Amino acid sequence: MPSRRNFLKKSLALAGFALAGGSILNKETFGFENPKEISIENYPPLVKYPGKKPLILHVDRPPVLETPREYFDRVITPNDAFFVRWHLADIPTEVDTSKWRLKITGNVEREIELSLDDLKTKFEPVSYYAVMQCSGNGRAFYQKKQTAFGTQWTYGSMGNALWTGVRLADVLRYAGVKKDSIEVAFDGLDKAPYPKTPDVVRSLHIDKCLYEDLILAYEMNGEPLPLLNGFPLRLVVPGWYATHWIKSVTTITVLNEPLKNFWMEKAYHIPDNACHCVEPGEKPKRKRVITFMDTKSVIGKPKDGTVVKRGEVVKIAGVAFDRGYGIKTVLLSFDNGKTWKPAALGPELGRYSFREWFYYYKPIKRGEVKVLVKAINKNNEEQPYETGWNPGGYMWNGIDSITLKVM
Amino acid sequence: MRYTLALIALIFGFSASFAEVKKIQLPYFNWKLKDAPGKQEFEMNCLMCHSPGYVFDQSEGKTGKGMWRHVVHQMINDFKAPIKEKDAEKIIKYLEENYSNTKEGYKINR
Repeated sequence: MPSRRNFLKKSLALAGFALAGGSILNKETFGFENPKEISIENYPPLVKYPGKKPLILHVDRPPVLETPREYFDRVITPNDAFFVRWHLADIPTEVDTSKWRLKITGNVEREIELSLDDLKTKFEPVSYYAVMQCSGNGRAFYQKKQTAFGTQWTYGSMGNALWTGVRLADVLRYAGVKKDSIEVAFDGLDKAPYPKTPDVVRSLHIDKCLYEDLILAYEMNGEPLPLLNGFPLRLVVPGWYATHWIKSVTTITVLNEPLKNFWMEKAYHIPDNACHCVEPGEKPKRKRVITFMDTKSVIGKPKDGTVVKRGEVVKIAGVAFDRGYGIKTVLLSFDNGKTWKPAALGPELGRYSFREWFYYYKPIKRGEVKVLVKAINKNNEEQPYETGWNPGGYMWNGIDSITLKVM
Repeated sequence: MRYTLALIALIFGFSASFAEVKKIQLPYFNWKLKDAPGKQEFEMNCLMCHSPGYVFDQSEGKTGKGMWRHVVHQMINDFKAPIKEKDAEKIIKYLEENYSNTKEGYKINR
């Protein structure tokens, strides 16, 4: 006999389906089937995960999914198209928020445990737009010199969302940070299948946690975060690479000594020099933890190789961002960089957000046209033609391009 | 009545903050690995922690000499994979012979 609770559940599911219907029943997903087999020939395939549009599959265990380039023609990246990257295969596939707690522990005046409702009611909510980008986004573009270690992302291990949550500083002050504290460590729900594998725990300097714009976000674009993106709570470190944005945070530990583990001492390190680069294949003499993102722009539309008619206007659109100075200008070139023309910019949604740009181009000659795009931020940091090689293949921000075929 | 309930559920479900259980069932994928000596050692030692996706991905482009040796040793030293030296050598050979420079470069239209 169906209980009232079950009926409610079903109604909710149906209502949810009806609401989501618009996005499920469209040409991108209707009748979409996952590949029966993945071989080197069809790799990397487009695949569908629950709650997600078809995304590029790099790895399924742990899930590593890339947003297709075409989503970067708009300023907000939808949650159902947002990239996914976990390090350890035992990821949280079920979270009950009535049991979930955030623990603040370590070098604090009082250890506390907060429920999701505590976070939503005891602290002032804060919202801002911020780009989350994987340190290795664009790593595949280093392949020309030498394949760098790690996931061969092209464009889509980045996205821009409106993050809503509480200030990390407010939560830390609530617990009372002791005077000799120097770092704060963050741990999430993910675990390694093999118990001796180092768990993903990362730390940040105490000043960054107390005096900068970090939040613990429980919403992404006005909705709870998808499980695949770190439900129910994710650390947001605007301007810095996603390796710091710990997912499904459960434990925050204030420390009076530096955190020493594989993730802090070896992983996500870049050459400690001005270009963050070395000769391909070389080992850096000095290394440091990766931090801020360099100025970058990407062309979302049209697709590379699109056929256009001579004399007909085509809209070229994309996004640009940096570490938090904000974008000053986005320039396009149709003559291999001899001359540059400014793109129109969309509204500024905050200094950590994508800035939308677009340009109406009217081709006058038949043949192939290479379109180059580069961004310059308000600190006059300009996107280079190529990013210097580094062993981890991090921080790619080379000038983006597409080729149009004018008929 | 049912519709009213559904409507109430709809309104409250998306506005009120109540405890929520979020669940997801991850899809299963069938990976086809190249048949060659060392495949068995690879399957036995590596697939416990991750799928072959990591191998396929890094096989593209200009893979440097010694890349797979570095990766397998990183798995042992940093990720603490319990792989015996004898198996490690077979795995390295299998990866070098079957998953190096598999594609000219990345697919631009990903």
